[in-house]
Amino acid sequence: MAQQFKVLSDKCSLGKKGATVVVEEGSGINVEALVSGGHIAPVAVKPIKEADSKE
Amino acid sequence: MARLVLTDASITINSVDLSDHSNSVTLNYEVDSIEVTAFGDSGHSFDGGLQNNSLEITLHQDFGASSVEASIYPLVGTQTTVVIKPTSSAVGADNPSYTLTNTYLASHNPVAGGVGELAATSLTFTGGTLAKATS
Repeated sequence: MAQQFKVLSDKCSLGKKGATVVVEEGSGINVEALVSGGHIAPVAVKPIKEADSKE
Repeated sequence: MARLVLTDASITINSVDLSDHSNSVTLNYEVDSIEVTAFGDSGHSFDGGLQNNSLEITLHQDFGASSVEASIYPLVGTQTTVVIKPTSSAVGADNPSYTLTNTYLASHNPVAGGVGELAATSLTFTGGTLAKATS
């Protein structure tokens, strides 16, 4: 499963600072360490609004 | 092909470029030797087994935001990917990239050095699979 992250540091090679990148599970990247190190931050994904939702 | 003096090696640990904080790198590419010597042979005979790689990197310690300590400390006891290139230039036949995936970092020295010395940490990554690319 892929997850989106925003690049926060200049040293991160996943993308330029400010860019949103997708990290695939099993890519060999230690996401927790990158988040802990302040290199990336998870991007909150807005839930899809159901067109015909009933209350 | 010209000889190479290492002055601009590229070191990317877990997608973090720490080249400007390193002064030493040694990538050991090794494949286990599996003995297949049989009766009738006149000498030892071997086949290749599993890769048995290791990577040694010395980093200047830096406690700044998103620098050495922030990047390395969370990696201890985990697997990650490290990419090494002879120079920071684009990958090519004369500047191959070596990607070591699922390599394990067992230890890190957050504070190490004598009085008046530069604080540094020596990392040894073990295991993983090495792939070389020239394009």
